[in-house]
Amino acid sequence: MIEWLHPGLLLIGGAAAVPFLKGRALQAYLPLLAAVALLDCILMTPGMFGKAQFLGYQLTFGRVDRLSLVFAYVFTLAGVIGFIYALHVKDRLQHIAALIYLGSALGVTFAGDYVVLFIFWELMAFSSVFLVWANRTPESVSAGFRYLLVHVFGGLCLLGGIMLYIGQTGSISFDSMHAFAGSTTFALILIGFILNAAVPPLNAWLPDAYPAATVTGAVFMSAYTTKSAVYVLIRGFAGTEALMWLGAVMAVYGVIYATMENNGRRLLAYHIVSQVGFMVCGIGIGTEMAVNGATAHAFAHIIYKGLLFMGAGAVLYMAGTVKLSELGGLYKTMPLTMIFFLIGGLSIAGAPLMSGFVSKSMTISGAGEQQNSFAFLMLTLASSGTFLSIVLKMTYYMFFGRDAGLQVTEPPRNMLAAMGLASFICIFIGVFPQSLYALLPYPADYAPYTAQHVLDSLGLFFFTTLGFMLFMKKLAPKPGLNLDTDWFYRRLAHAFMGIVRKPVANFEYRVVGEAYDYLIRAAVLFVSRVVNHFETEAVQPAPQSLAAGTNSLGNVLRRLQTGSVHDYAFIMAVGMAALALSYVIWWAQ
Amino acid sequence: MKALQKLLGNPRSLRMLKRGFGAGVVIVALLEVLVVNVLHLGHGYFWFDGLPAFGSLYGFLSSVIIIVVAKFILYPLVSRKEEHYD
Repeated sequence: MIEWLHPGLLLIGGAAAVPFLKGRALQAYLPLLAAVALLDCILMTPGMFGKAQFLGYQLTFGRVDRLSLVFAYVFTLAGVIGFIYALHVKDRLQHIAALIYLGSALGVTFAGDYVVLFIFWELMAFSSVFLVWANRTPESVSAGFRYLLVHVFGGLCLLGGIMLYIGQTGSISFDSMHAFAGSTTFALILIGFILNAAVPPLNAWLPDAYPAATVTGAVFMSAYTTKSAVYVLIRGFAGTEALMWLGAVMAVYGVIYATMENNGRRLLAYHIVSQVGFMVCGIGIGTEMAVNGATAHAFAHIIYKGLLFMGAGAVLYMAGTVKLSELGGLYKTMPLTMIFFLIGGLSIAGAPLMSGFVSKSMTISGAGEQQNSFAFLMLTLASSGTFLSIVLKMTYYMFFGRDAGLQVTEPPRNMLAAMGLASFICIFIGVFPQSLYALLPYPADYAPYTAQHVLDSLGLFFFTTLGFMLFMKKLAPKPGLNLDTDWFYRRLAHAFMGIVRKPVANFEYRVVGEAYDYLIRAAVLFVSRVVNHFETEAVQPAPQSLAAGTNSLGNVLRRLQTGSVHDYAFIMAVGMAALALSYVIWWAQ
Repeated sequence: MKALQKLLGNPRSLRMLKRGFGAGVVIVALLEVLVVNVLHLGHGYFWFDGLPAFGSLYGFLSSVIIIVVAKFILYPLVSRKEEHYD
């Protein structure tokens, strides 16, 4: 009996079977494997498991406690839904990438130390990029490379921080970083983490890469990278005041960009930035209630954001575009997709009886209890903006508005089933909030459905709709692209390439090439002439003279052995004479 | 599904929907005042969230702020053609 089975390694190992399966077997295998991982997480008991020794450090692959479990539940649950949504996909590369990506997100969640954390952290970036590349278009290839480069930068910051941490403490354990506040170690690890959480100005990779991913790939991506970052921030940086400010700003930043956006999936990507802002803000506030709120919001967010990406993906899959300026009137042909999308939209906006209401209001109340009016007002403002750009703008221009005359039908049944399942979870959590609260890291004694709360939300939504109707003309989507902070590195790369192409190439050709001719080649020729001289004058004659010596010695010996009796007799006579002579000389002495 | 399509495709029912929305706006704002300021059923965190119809007013203010900042201030600054980076 195995004491503890790592669900992440189960999925990563399970990816090895994908190339050998096809048809129905593969379709059954993928969601079943994710379901087994979910069951594995449900059956776990808290404790420290999967310990291994490595270079004198103790690695811990399985830190199982309430915090890691709630994230593991929702990660695997989203995996089941995501694989149902992706059942029709024949491209095995995507399935393998998704399995490794989900597995490494679980690896991060259960990691008890920085070494294991870092390994899975990098694996997450390197597996998810294939969900972008699998689109196999020039745009997705370059977006994937930008995604990878940004994450490599973040990974290096994290690695640098970890090295400093090990140097200072001699330990690799990953716990609250409070004792290091203000140090370089603290800053580097924090930068590594908030880059994955897409905190501005380190946010631009997200709306750049996610809309370039495949229809099903974006559903997976929307769940894991940012939320595993939320998890490690809760673990290491709860109560860091800077996060409260960043999160509050980020929630509004994402909403503002979403309001300008025309590409439906990029609009949703900016709402990830905004929603993760709620969580980061809650982590920064750091009280039990706020951290509970951030965790609950991460749980609810993964499901409803997946649902929204599934809805937008279904439109992209069927209509071939998800640009709002090219869509309209789809309620006639895709009513089910519209209903599911609307449920996702109402959830993310935080409408009563939907999952977002019970998780978001917890974070906002967390800000209220701390008398933090800035966070309270910013997060409420962002709620209004979420309702505005998803429920009103996106739903209106995709499913209603001007009929674009697109001849489409509902998406394949597996896509509808996945959206239906996600919709059910959104409503279930909204109606039975205690089912979610029971999973949170701290005891949650919170009642979301007070009369004031419900009415405040309804007021917010009704009057936001009023604002929308007033500015409807101005809000009409237009094709175009909005500059974000990726402008800096994309322009920088452009300028760098310009420098490489023109001056550097010229310098290389004209100056370095010529200098090479005169300095290096001349010197090489001179040295080779000297060597050549030595070779012909000294080295080559050496064996010749050796051969000549051997030759003449051979001649002498040959003459000595003529075979004629006269010669031998002469030699013997000479020998006798020499002996006699030497005897005479010796005797004379 | 058919019923829904009929409902949304019919101009008369759309007019009803608009009227219903108008009534909803007024009713929600009044209910907010009633619950918070007359019956004192809620409890606020700050001086401002107990003001009459705070949720409604702040919702309207929020949507206006977001639209003005996004569409009137930021959009002219950051908007480019789709081929900008190509």
